Amino acid sequence: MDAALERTGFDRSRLIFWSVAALTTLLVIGPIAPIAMQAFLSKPLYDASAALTAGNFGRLVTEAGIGEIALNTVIFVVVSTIFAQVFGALAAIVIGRTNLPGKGWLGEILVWPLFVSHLVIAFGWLTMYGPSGYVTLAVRSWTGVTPWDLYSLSGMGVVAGLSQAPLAYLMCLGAVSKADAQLEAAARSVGAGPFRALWSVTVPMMRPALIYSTVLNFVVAIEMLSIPLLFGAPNKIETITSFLYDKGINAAVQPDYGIVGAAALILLAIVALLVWLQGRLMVGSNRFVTVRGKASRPALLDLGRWRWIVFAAVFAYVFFTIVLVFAGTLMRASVSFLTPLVPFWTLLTTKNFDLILQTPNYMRSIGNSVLISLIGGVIGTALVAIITLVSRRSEFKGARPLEYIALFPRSLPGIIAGLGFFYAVIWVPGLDAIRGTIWILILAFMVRYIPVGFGTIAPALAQIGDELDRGARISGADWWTTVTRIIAPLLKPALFSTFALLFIHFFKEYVTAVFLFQPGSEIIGTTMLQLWAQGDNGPVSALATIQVVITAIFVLVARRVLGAKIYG
Amino acid sequence: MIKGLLTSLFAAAALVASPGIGSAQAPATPSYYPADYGATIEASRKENGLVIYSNMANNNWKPVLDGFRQIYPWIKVETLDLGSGTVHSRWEAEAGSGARTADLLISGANDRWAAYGLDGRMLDYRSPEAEKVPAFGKPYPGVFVASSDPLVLTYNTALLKEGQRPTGLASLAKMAAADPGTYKGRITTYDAARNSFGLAAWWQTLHEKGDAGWAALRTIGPMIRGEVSGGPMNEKIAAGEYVVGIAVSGITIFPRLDEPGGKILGFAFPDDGTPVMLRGMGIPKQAANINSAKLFLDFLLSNKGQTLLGKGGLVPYREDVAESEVRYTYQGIAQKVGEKNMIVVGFDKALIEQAKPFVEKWNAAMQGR
Repeated sequence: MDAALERTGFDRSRLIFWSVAALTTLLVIGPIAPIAMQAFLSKPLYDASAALTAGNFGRLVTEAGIGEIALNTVIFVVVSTIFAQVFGALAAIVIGRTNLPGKGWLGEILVWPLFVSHLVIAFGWLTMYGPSGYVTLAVRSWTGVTPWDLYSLSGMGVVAGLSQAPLAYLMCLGAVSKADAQLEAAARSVGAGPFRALWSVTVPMMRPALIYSTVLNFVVAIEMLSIPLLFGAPNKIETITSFLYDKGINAAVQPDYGIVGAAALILLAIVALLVWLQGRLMVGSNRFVTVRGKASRPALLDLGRWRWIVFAAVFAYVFFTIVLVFAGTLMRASVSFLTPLVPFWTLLTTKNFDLILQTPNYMRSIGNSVLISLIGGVIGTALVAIITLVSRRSEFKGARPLEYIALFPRSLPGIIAGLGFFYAVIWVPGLDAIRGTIWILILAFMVRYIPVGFGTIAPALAQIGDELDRGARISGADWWTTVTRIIAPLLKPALFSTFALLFIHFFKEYVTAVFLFQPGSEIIGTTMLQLWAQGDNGPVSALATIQVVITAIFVLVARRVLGAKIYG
Repeated sequence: MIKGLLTSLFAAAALVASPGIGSAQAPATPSYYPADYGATIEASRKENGLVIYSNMANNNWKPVLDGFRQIYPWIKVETLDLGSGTVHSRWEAEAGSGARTADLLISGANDRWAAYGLDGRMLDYRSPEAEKVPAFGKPYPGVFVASSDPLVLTYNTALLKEGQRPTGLASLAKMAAADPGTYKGRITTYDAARNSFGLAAWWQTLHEKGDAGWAALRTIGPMIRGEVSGGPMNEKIAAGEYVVGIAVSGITIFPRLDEPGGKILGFAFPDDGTPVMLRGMGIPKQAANINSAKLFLDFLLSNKGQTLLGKGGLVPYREDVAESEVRYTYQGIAQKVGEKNMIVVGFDKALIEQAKPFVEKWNAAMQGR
């Protein structure tokens, strides 16, 4: 091998390593640094006369009602996590481990809430179960009482929990379907009934999945904005995200950036701590690994005479919390008013869809959402692939730190990422060029979802034996040639899946965008929020319906054409 | 629908992509416009379109924007529709950072307009149309009125039969006190403590009504659930969650009356005082596209612009707007309810200083105290 060539090859790889590491660090620090700065400044970041101060934290803790906001957030998050975990885990057991009838299509519907934004789901719930919801008013006219109140902390928690249950379901499903059925058989052979076997054998095996999804759902609940905004506001219930939203951008009087920065920094610290704790709890989880080299056909648990009763329960769950919620959105989109006081069919109209289709701003928000998801999905996949390859498959000395940095955005709530980029673009000279364009949104969304992509590519990479790289390197190829010519083609299925996942996440994301969008860079979510603020629930629902339809088409195409695995 | 959606998507994409097609000829201007107006028009061609932050909805904007585009096809107008307070918070934050922001602000946050009028944050623009509008249309240098929109009493026609429907604040207080079962938790209005539009409206109303008004408010206060926008009020009145809304923005209910099932909603101009909200507008001093903004402001104040605002559901206040062209005019409402029965919600600077004690008194009244 020519020594000169080898040296340039080596240099090229090193250059790539360092550029990737530098870029990733810059992207991740980008939104965090300005928030940390703002938290210690007396005036807005862009104000030249701002001085260093620790006073913001003092003002935050003495802010009227801040204790109640903290308590509300804790209650909301705990209720939501409990509901998500209990329903998700139960669903995973009956779908994954029993001979439940119709579990194929039931399992399919169970995942659907993950594909659409919480905003869409929240509207569906509002339409059906809100104080003037169709189901609520129907029940009230039959029974004379209103049996639930979505505009309460527990109501909010239940809705948030049920829309996050699919996440727990998927993770637990993965755990139980890989579990060794012989262990259950052993329990049965010593006299345990089917439920006892499930409780004593299957449930403990789900522990790592439960811990992992609990922390994940906890974090999702903390950063959830739509539900506190839609359900909390009428009864003046504030949580940390609606507080940040109201203080930061929606302020009735001058926004107080000092307090917002302080609150955001504290929130960031709490979430980071939780994610770290999750890592600690997961240590030693491999003692639950029961998938070994030995082949054993997973036998399903026979529910016996409980079969149809359990079916009825699962069906009712799916129907009332998913099918009806989606149907509510479509129904609201198709009528002028949704009221039980007038026959439904006399109110039918296409006006809501017409308004969306004929208003350039609204159509542009749909176009922008599609563009952001496509461009962002492609660039994001490439970026994450390189990050994963450098941190897992190279001799780069900073490989481990790079992985930590790349995974840090898991602790970065969307509203904080949005706020951070908002500060960054008005603070850093030159960045103003991308402010108000879709590129700032693509950038912010990408940072948010690096860990999601990493989590998809890393396991696939681990399955590709490193003798392939070594073979290529011995024959004289440098690192870049090896990964692009040998490894990347083998990774293709995982790359398609990553693209599909990123597309879906980008398409439903809106919290990160609420601080960043401008006329010209609106996306579906921000337009829905604007329409909602004006009380135009018909057009909001029409837009939500369009979002669901586009998502459905994408999921179908991605699965059939790209063969992408989306969620499991 | 999908096909239609795709077609529209492409149409929208094409619209975004196509460069502004400017006509070479300058539009004709009325004789009373200054001689150098052509220079403003020419200068606007070199500008970068126009960004407007407003508290209006897209259906309000559509006729106006269509009309403006016919005259000045090279000016690409972008509107961002926000809550009244948000319009200002957002603009103030962006203006402070020196970033590109709105060239024209329109909102119902009358306390802010009074403040801007006093501290001169708006461009002191002498619009050639200013002499054609009534005096109340130009309260401060650089602050103009875009429209004058009545706040009405709304109700659910299925739940309140004829004869059971309140006709004003006093009659609502009387009916609600007599029948708390129907009204408890089912009256809505703007929460003056959470919304600057509602703050201005209720401040002026109670300022004029005095103790009698406060007494009526204390009676219904505990039965009220406040909202921050007119849309949800109508939505919930139609559904039956509320039976009555008091001081609901007329422009949010008028268009709904014509929709299928619109008969479920009813409304009345309150017989004991109809608030009329003046909607403020102004051009920020450091606006990036100042000439385009001037052209747009003049257009909004012109007979044509006011008429088109009326077609979009707002209420024009220029005296020469034909009543038959629009749903209501300021003068038409004055005739209907009587001039002395109108509570004109303007830009009183007292609003800035007295807002805080007012909100405290308001919150107490909401609890019946």
